[in-house]
Amino acid sequence: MYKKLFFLFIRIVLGMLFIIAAYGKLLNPQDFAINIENYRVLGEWLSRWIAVILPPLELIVGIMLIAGVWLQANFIIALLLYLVFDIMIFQAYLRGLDISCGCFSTADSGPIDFQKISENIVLTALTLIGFLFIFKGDISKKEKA
Amino acid sequence: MKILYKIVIIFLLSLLSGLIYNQFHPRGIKFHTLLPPQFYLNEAIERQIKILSVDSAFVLLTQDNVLFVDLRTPADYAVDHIRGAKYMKEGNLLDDEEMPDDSSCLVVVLYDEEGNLEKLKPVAARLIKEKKQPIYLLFGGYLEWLNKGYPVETGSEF
Repeated sequence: MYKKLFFLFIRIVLGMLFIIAAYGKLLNPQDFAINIENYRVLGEWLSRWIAVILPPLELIVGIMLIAGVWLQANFIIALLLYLVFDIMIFQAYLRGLDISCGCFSTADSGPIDFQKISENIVLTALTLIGFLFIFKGDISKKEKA
Repeated sequence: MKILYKIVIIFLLSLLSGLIYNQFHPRGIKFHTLLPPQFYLNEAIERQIKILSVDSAFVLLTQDNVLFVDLRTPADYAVDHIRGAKYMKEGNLLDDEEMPDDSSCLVVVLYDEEGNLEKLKPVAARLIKEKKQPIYLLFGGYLEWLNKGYPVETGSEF
């Protein structure tokens, strides 16, 4: 019972965060592409492609997580996204890049610091817990689908 | 295997919705900017792109029919830029109301930080196709302009 409630809590929290993140980026796609480019990993052309795909992906995953649709697939995508975000943020921090995160909007939340890294790690851990719930069989087949 | 199909479907749905949304959004990333430059940069257009030295560009600065366009980041533009230059991220260039039509005989000079001609050429090519105006690329870029001590101004009006 508590596991199911906790799993529901994880789904709703992650879903809401993805939707909020998507909304901020969808308001200004070009600025989001600049945010990605500022990480100095992907280059201008690839950054534009990511800026096109990522916000709707976050929105769709967020909605599906809350609605409880295709949970296994969505938790895999969510976990992969958070792992990539962790790597990007951590490498930017190590390289001393003075850039804004761009995590929840293009006019984001300030520079990348230890607090931002910690927040991301917590969210990744939450996603991992949900992922393990799904794939370890703690959740019924009906809920997994 | 079913999970993989679902993941692919979600990605394809995101891609499709992202492309459509961006095409219609005023600040969206238009489809043609997602193509590699060789798809829209042909020889005939490339021959129309002219390279301008900073000394020649400085002479043009005093004329009324010249528009300098800064293609660096907004943060760099806000620090300083060529006097009178407008900031436009390339995706906005063609839709910008400040770009006058052919009859004004406006000369447009594009510049970025270092005069990366390979990066500037696709932007110039699109402008030539759409606006049919003379487009010049500033050789040496903004750094060369600064080295020569030519006038700059600060400001974030963009």
